[in-house]
Amino acid sequence: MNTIVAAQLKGFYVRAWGLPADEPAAVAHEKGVLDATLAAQKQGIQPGMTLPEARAIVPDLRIVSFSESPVAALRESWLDCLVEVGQAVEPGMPHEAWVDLGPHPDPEPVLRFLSERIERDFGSVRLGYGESKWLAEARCHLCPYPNPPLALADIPTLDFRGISESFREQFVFLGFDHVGEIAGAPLSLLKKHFGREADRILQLAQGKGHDPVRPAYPLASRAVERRTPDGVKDRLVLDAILHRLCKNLIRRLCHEELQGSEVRLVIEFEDGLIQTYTRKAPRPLNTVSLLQVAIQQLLSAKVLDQAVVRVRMLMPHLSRLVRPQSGFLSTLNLHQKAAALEPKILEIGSKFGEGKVCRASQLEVPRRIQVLRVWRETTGWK
Amino acid sequence: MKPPDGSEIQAHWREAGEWWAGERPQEVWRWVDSTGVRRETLAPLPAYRLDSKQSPPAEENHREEIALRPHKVRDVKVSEASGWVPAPPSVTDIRRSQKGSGPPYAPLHVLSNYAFGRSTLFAEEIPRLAAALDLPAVALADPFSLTGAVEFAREARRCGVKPLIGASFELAEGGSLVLIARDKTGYRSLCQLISECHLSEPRLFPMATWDRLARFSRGLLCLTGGDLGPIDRALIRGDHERAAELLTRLVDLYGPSNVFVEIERSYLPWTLGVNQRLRELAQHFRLTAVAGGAITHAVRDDFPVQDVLTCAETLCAIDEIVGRKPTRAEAQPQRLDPPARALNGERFLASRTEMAVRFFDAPDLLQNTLQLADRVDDEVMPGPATMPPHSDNDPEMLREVTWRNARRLYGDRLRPRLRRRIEHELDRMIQLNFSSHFLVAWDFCQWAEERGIHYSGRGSVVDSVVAYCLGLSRIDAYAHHLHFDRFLPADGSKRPDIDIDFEAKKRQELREYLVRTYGRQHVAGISAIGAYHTRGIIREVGKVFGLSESAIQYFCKRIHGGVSPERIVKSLESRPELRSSGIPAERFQWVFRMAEKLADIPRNMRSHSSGVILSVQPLDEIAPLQWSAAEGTEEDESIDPYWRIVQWDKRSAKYFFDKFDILCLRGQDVLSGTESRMRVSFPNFDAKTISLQDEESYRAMRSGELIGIPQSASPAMRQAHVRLRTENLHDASLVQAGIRPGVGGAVKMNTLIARRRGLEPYSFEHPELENILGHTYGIVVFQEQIDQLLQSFCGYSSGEAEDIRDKIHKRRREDYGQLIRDEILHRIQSRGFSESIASHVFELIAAFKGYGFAQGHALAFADISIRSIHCQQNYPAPYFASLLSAQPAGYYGPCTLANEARQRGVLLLRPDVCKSEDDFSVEDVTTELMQTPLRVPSGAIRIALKQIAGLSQPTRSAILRERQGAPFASFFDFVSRVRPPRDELTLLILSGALDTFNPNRRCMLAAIPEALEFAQLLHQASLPLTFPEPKLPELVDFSVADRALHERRILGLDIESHLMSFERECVSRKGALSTREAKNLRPGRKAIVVGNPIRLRFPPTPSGKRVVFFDLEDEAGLLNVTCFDRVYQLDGHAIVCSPYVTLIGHAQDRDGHTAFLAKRVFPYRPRLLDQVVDKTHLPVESADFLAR
Repeated sequence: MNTIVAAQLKGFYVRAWGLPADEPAAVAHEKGVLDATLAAQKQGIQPGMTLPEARAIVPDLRIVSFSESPVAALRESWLDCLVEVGQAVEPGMPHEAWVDLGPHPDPEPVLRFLSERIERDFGSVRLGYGESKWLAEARCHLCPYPNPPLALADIPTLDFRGISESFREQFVFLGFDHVGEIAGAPLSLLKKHFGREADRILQLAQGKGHDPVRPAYPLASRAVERRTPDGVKDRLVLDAILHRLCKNLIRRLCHEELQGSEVRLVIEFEDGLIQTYTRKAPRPLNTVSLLQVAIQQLLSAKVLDQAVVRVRMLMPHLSRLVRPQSGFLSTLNLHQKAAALEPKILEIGSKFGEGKVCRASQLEVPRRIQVLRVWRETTGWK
Repeated sequence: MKPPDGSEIQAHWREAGEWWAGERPQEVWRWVDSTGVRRETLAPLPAYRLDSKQSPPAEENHREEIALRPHKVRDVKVSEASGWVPAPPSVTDIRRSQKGSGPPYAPLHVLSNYAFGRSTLFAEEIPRLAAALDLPAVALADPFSLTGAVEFAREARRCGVKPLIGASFELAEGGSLVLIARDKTGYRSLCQLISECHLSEPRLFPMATWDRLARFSRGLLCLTGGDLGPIDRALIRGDHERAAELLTRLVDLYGPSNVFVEIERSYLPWTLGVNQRLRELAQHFRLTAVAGGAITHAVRDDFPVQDVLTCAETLCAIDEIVGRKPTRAEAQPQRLDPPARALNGERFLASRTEMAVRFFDAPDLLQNTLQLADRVDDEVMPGPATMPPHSDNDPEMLREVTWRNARRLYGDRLRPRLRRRIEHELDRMIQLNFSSHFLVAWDFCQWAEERGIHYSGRGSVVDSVVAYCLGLSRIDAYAHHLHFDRFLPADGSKRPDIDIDFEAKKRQELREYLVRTYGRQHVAGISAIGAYHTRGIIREVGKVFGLSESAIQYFCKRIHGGVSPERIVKSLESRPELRSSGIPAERFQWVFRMAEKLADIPRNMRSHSSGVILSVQPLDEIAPLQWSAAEGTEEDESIDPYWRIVQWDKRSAKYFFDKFDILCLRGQDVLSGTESRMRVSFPNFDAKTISLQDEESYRAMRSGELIGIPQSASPAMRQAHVRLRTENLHDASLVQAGIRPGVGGAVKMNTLIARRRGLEPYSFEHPELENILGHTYGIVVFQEQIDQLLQSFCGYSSGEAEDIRDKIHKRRREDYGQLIRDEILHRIQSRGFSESIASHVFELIAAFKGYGFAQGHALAFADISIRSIHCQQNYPAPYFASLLSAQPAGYYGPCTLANEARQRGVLLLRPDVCKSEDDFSVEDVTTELMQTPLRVPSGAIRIALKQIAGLSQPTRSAILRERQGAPFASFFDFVSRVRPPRDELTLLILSGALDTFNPNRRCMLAAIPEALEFAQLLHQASLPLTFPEPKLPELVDFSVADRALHERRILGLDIESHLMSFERECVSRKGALSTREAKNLRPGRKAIVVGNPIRLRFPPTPSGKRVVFFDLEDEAGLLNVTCFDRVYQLDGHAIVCSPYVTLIGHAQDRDGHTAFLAKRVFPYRPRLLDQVVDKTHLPVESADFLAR
């Protein structure tokens, strides 16, 4: 079972606007307080409060209106920290995200690393981990992390975010006020009320259920990873690992018809230190050799004096593969082309997978043409 | 870029493009170059201008100089009262705005917005535009509709444009023809054909067949329909034989001289080829070809509005091509329609110059349109209809019935004065030929009386003694000295307006009685037109542009009637409830840009709530008929399954028909309901015989405790009764006339109250003035008094006086009173009155500009209020049960009414599947008095099953049916016999309707799966087996607060106590008062009050500032609160959007009535939320317009 980490950055909006902690100030959105500085919070300003209320409490409160750009910039940089540790990152609200660590044997050091790293650059963070997103999120607020059933027992049912709102309401009607009560309910009872969903609900309530992280950050990125628990110190072995990772990554990109010109290499050492190296090439890194050269150039001047326990290779900002078709059926006349087309399509399909070949007629048609087509079909105009 | 000269142009058209995405429309040429290669050239056209203020017009735009769009409003009286209906532009102004040159022509295929979604043009706007363009004639051709014909024809005559009345007819095989009435016969054919196409097909899906066209073809001119026509459709497909065949058929039907080939040049891809072939066909059949084509909007720049309107009507998102709304009913022949959305925006009303360009090679086609127009008679519409006679000699019968009833009512020895009055009224009615009107009304009122249906007259008909004798009114006009001339002036300038209020539930039965009596061809309702207003525009445009339902709802809930469409953007800044709500303007940008142009455009037609017309001629010879959505109540072949309506609304119908207003007043339902509930114990109880002299009723009026009283419950009415010290029916009628017309009312209420209470002395300069104004303390209160002043002092006839009174009100923006000042003064002085009397009388007359009531109307409403007060005082449980059953009715909702019932000692009992009826019922209760059980008859109200929101009619019927055989024994027995759906069972449990079986609601909720399985098991068993019932699980029940919240959410009212009672301890501890305590404060004392603000009102003020009035509700009742502009601007968001508020202010005395003046209003977070599990929301409505 994978381990999922939930991370919630405290004072996100205050930090995004660079508000000093000792000045009573707040970020406002739609006439409500989104976030407040420490000084403001000490005077009683709470996120969620309405602005008139906040002004009534602290008349000289400095209020900054919400806008997208500062949030986007900070969001990107703090999510990049998460990318270093996990296989997949799914952002939620700008200040929250989930990271899939894979089947990690001991997530505590990762959490420590993350905590130090984020707090150094961005301020305090709440972290929690578990087998599902909702469990990890619930445990963000619990410290130390007790075992799942204990951690969840006192959470109100209406905060059981792993299930839908109507299910939560139904549980409340049935008298299940806390998640612990749901976890202890007999499956037969749950099945009566929730049918097929009962199993999943019970597992989630017991902190076991599967709730996968969707890889949504960075946008259009692919990554491969290799763990070496015993540690690799030999450069040749490391190069062999990197070569394999390059092959895997390029194969995956080819399969999905993607390409990119940037690569990030994350190396975790045995003492827990994580180093990230980034290289941006002037042209797409769409072959194994090109990628390998880029990686070698990245590491050429680096001295690896400790054993490496994890290597992660990530290519962000991928775009659709652009391939020239200069030789494709170009020497044939119209009839020959028509005759040769079907076998060629089959051939390409067998190589790249069925459904990967798209005829021109299947391409997205401009709306103008669609409109004319509908008119033509309905009126019979030729 | 155009193709080079000499190229072979195959097609040339224009496309609208994605205008909403900023794309410009473009012109397309498809041509063959000199080498034989086919090419396509695209050239951009000027973008559509949505905001005329943004940039100067791109091309000639003759309509910008003068606003030709009429301002339509739903209720003319209300709008006139508020004084914002602009006068129509003068003909001189319209003509002056003309521009352009070129040969004249007549547009022959113009659609008005009564084509619902197909045009943005108002029917009245069309002739104005034609006049502005100097076009001699114009034809209206809405599909299967003459709804706009009257407005169109009248405005056309005013503008000096010849109106051609026509309609378009869609054939079963597709394509529309245009038929224009050539003369009165043709108009009759048109009406009959439209009626036939509607009434022989499913509702909303009219269709023409060749057989129908053949049956009603006399007097009609036929146009082939242009691009929408069947012939063009055939030619587009290249089916030339079919086109010729269709044309032959049309020639056979209408004759060659009456068929016109309509040539459309609106830049469509197939125009070149089709038009060429059309001209050949016209030549072949020797038919006249005319320039034509459908016209759907005024100017090219209006196309986006037209496009959005089409999208909204056809359920099409802006980036879709075809809408989801079906164009044919399932039973009709199906076919593939071209998209309803136009390919380009070229179907606008082109100027003469533009038409000259379009038809540069065929000017004869333009000339031919004028020839067609010349063949049409100047007047094709019929004269007014006559009422069906009731007997062979209606005048004689009217006399006979009147005198017979007069003797019954007044005794055999009638006073000479009374005899003279009756004789005078009868003479006038008969002389003006209105005998049949009164006999028809008498007949259906008698029918209602025999069936025990409650009714009463309202309006000026109450002023007639004959109407009282005939039973049309319950107010004795003779005893109250009511002025008959207001109802029916001697010169016949007014038609009799007989308005009668019946019980709402019995109205359809009455309509069916009329249909049975006079025949379905002679009785119908009139229609009412629903139009786009602020919320509708937000919803529809929002949906078209793909906004989420929640975003639309959020915006709509925060906007109310006071915000007109053109002021939406402004209101985002000026209204606190919108200013602070974070509505993103950029998401609603299309709503804002389209709002003004979409305002008042009709969107549907429905049955008018009350108007019924009768005619001795078949109605479909005068106006087309169609089905309304109102279903009949009887399984009778003589009754149609749906109610028929004429296609005219009341503004059009009044020129042709005398209508009866079969109105409904929920007060009648309440009295009737009280009567039927009382008759269980007192069989002789009759609400009609309740005395109007009951002192206790007037005491209640003076106390202002009138919540739940029809016509008197509003805070203004309650306050007025307290201030006036109402002592009798006359006083009550003064309050009705002074307050009910609203802020636009004409009565000087403060002066009236001061004089009534003796605080302001007054005298009369002349005895005649005392005669007229004596009973209203020298102030004009009733409309009749103006008539009397004009007749007595100025010597006007009754008709002239009524006309002047009407104009003083309707033309008050131009101060009509001052315009006739000299004439009035001269007339008064020439009749021997002094100058000071003359000026005093003139001031009285000219000042009565606002909306007023006739005295009879005020008395009729006061009568209902007094009877209701008597019932409420003496039989509270039956009264409140009837009142709650009659909801929605009156000023306050069920929650406030239930609170009031509790205040009056009536116990509210939870709904119970074993005891509750479909309506609220009355039960006896047993209470403890000095440890002795005491049975209180009719002491409680059992909440109705229909009050459970979400409980369907079939489930309610099943409950009532099943328990007739044997009572329900248990929860499982109930579920197995009624078998409600799971969600309805949940509602029943949460509302407490199943508490009889087990008071623990949570146990029953938990047992729902077992209960449904058990029911299934019993149902499947083929033998009458007995299965043991499952056991209910043992669980801890909901808290009291949880139960109260569920009840409020599901029932819309509180059973045991108001939700505010949960807050009382907390707010009392902090020094807040209850509303009752606040009402008893000394004037000027400050206090804090916490409660739920309801019934927000924003009346307009002369200064333009906003004053908000609302009622603050808690468990002790209501407190009348006033917020001035400063407070509203500061705390308006809290008032409008918070379910509970903390109010800081002080008490104010207004002549004995205590109101509360707010200084600050803060949102209050209910402590109740801390006691419940579900903390998400409180089911409390913060303001009436938010709840809709």
